[in-house]
Amino acid sequence: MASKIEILDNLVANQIAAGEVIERPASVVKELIENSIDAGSTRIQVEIEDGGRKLIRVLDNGEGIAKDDVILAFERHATSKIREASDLFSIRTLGFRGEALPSIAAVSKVTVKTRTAEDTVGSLLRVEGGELREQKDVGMAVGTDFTVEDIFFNTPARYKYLKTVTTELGQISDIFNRIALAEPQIAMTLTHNGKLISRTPGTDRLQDTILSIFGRELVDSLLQVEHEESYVQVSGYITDPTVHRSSRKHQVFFVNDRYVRSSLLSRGVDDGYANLLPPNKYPIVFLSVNINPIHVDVNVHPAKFEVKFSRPEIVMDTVTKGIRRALLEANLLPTFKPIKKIVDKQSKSIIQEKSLFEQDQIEDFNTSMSNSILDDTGAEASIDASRRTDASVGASTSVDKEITYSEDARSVSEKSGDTQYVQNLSTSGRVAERMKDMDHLLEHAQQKNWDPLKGRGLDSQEKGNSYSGGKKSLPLSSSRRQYPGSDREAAEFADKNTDQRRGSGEEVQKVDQKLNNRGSFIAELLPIGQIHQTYIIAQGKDGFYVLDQHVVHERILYEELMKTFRTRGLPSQTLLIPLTLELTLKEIQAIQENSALFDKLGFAVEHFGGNTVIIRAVPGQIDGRPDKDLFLEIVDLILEDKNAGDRAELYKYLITTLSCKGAIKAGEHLEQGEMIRLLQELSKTENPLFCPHGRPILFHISEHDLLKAFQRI
Amino acid sequence: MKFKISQKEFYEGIQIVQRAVSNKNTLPILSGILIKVEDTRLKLVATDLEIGIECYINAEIISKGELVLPASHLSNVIRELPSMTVMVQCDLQNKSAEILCGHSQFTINGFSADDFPILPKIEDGTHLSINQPLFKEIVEQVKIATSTDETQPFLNGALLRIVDNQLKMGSTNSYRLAHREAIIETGIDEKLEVIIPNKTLDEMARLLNDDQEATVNLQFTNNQILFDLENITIISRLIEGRFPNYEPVIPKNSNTFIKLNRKELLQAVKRVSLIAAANSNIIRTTVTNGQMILESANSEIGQAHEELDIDMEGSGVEISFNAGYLLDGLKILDTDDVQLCFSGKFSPFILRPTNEINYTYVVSPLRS
Ligand SMILES: Nc1ncnc2c1ncn2[C@@H]1O[C@H](COP(=O)(O)OP(=O)(O)OP(=O)(O)O)[C@@H](O)[C@H]1O
Ligand SMILES: [Mg+2]
Repeated sequence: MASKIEILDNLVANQIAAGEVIERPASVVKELIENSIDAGSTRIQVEIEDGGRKLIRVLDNGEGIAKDDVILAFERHATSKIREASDLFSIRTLGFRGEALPSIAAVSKVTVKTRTAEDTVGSLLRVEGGELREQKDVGMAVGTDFTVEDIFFNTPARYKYLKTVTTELGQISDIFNRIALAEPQIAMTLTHNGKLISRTPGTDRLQDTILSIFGRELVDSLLQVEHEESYVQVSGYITDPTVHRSSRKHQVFFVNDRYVRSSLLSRGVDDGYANLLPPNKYPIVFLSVNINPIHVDVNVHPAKFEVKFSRPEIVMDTVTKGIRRALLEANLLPTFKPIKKIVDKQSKSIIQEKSLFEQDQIEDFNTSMSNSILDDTGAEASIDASRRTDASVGASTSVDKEITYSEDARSVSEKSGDTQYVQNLSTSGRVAERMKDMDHLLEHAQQKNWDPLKGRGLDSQEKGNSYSGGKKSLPLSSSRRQYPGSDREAAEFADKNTDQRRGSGEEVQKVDQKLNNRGSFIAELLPIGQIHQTYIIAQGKDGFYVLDQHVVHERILYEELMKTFRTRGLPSQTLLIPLTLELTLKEIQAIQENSALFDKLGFAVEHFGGNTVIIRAVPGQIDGRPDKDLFLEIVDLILEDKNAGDRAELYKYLITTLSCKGAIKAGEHLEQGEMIRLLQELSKTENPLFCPHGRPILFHISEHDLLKAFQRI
Repeated sequence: MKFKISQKEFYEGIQIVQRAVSNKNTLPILSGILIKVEDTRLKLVATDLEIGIECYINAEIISKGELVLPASHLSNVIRELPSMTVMVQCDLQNKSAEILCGHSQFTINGFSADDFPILPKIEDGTHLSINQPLFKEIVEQVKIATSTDETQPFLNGALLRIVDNQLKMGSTNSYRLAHREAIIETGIDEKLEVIIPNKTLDEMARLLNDDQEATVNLQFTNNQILFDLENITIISRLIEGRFPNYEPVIPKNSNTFIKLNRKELLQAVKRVSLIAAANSNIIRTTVTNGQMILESANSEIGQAHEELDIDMEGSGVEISFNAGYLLDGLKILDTDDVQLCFSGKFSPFILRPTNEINYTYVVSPLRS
């Protein structure tokens, strides 16, 4: 292979943010894995010894480094990735500074073995504290094998600063997981002292990676996000609103496949979930933002953890919209006690509609891994096993945890007002614990040689009995009860996979059918009455439903208006007193360029010259809204949405606004007949479960919930 | 502070001022009614700082003083008392009032009168006096067309203009417009133009009298208007800003004139709205050969069709509009017949009573 790495000229080098690259073993792991990714690897193996103090080894099957370049790679600002200053603004690779290898080599003993496809033999290089010790040819497969030993051996101050093995390993595992989530197409493994800690399948599907890292339970509550507008593409997975955490720590963001921290994106997420979560609770998200690299500055943080967007509002807004859309499409029915419902619902919306794995891949994967983590029972067992491990280690914290857990369950009957959240918490609690327990797991993995992936082989029942104390065994049995149908589900899941391969025609039909039936049960509900003149209580076949009358009506009006609009545009109300507005030049241009749109919406807009426009007619639908606000909001929308082709959003917005304004309000009395009519109309709508703004319309309290709440079962 | 009063009169007085009580709870004292015992009578005052109402009622005064009592409690208690003499005795020290009536005894805690805002006294400014029933009719006819769009605050009320001895009052929400003219006996010298807020119009309509003999005195300053009825004074803030010059909007050259029975039209429009309601209340009207046809169609519900006999002059016309707007105008009139004047499919049309009264109601059409 021809010489590829070049030393950046001084100017470029100076433009690059300097800073501490290597703070701790996890930084080394990050830099090495990122190099492997940049080298186009499909398999990356990370081996750690003693929390990285002793050894960090990253083995990849990437393109390797050409023989002539190996030494160069260790020089400061040597990079194959950018050549000129202007390249900095369009960085697609994870590395770009040419700083990592020299920084690592300066503080440790590095051995690199690397071979390109062009070279017939690989080269080995040994560098200690920045000094070249050895260079020779070695026989090896194409790829790079990087070993970093005795980190900070020559900087005792920094060596002293290292934390316990558990902490360092926690950091490593955290960064490993985040990178792995960003690169679902790469099969990655992480081992510690020879024990497997994480392993991702490399199927190029994010949900597979999430499954392998966080387990079945979290995957079951995931919704897919897929949204693109204004050059920003947002994709990934989010948890449905019943699963949440009390911090944003579990929100993972990638910008152009680079893992980043971003309060901006977090805010976008918060807005997306507005009104859906209890106060101070945050969803778990895995979101990937793709945007032309021109619009992102990645060079603002020494470890490249932060990015700057040129139009942050737009990016944030797209995230919000993507999330709203996912929640809407997921057709979530908030329930009093969501656990079982979610499993059911998810088995429809995620597992059934989109198979997680093709059948053959499942087999592959199963055989490739000695212990399946795909299997439901396996996932369950591993959770149980984590409890067991807690218990068997005898950590008192685990006992505490179990007690709180059972208290949660009890408080359902004590504080009925909080019931919904308490119930929800038990879901999120489990997922949360699972995530929080990563640390514990790692600790135990190392102390007890416990392999989290070997959960399936454990007889949790037997272990459960092995520790004494009635209280502690309680949650075990309750956790099992929450997965009553895991086997059946797995079977269904397999069936679905075969279904899926039978061709898409059938699939489409099924989806249609589902859309049509979605609300049919609502027509059969019997309204019992109103509470606070705001909520309709209706009895159904199984328990009862609570509906928010305003959003019920809003949904009905929305679909009616949408229909009118599609067929003949909105009627236009001529104004007796025209509205005169002073606008900016940009706004006026936007109006002129979109005059046809304004016509269709029912506006008659006239440019009066200068900065003045006169509105002579407005959409003549519903009285009592400020025409001026509506008009300006639409202008704003047009300005934001450069995608002139996509007007659907705009119409939708307008119609949402109109329907909301016209809907019956909270606090209005409804007669029985009116309630029946509302429910019937609602049942015919396309999405009777969420209002056009994405808020839930109804929730369900089943007979079972009632029995449970009153402790009859 | 102590007085005796009939339950009925006391309750009536409370009701008169209660509408001015503030329902925002930013200033708690404004949720109360000031009761001031004067030499021979009682003065009740309430205000939300936008509007203030004062009302004098007769009472047997035992000792003077003033106290503010929470309006809703006071009103609820007095309403439920038997129709007998009520004795109210206030402990100004403790700011509480003892209410005695028959076998009932209540104590209500209040606020010190010192903290209650004093309603401004308008001494100078323009004076004007108008016959009460006439002014009541004008206010009622005009207030139906006001706007509540907060982005156009100057439309959230009615424009009152007085030039010589002619009074003109108008309002619009841009979709429809109401305009009334009347001759008043005592004119004024200068030109006067003020915008009276919606809420004040409502209170006027409620408090003005039908008694032919009664007059209302109006007093104006730059930003306030005061209405003096016999025992009631209403003082209100005026809306600032310029009301649009709406008179050119009233079509001058109509080419279709029809006359028909008001009640029949009202009922026909109401019936058609039953279907139109699902269609944002749009009704289509066709005027041809002595007939007026009202129609509405909704693909799901069905359709409505009404025919009315009319006296007709000029060409035929077809026009669509919001039924609600026409209904408002028809409801406020009390003549047997009304006149409608059309100037084409896309132009506003006029509704008028057929008697002398100079009232014009304009509805803007819908284009669909
Ligand atoms: N695993 C690898 N496979 C192939 N080439 C590699 C690998 N690791 C490093 N290199 C080569 O070595 C060069 C230097 O790596 P280094 O990490 O120091 O810099 P960089 O990745 O370009 O930038 P940064 O400092 O931002 O990481 C890279 O540009 C690349 O050409
Ligand atoms: Mg690098």
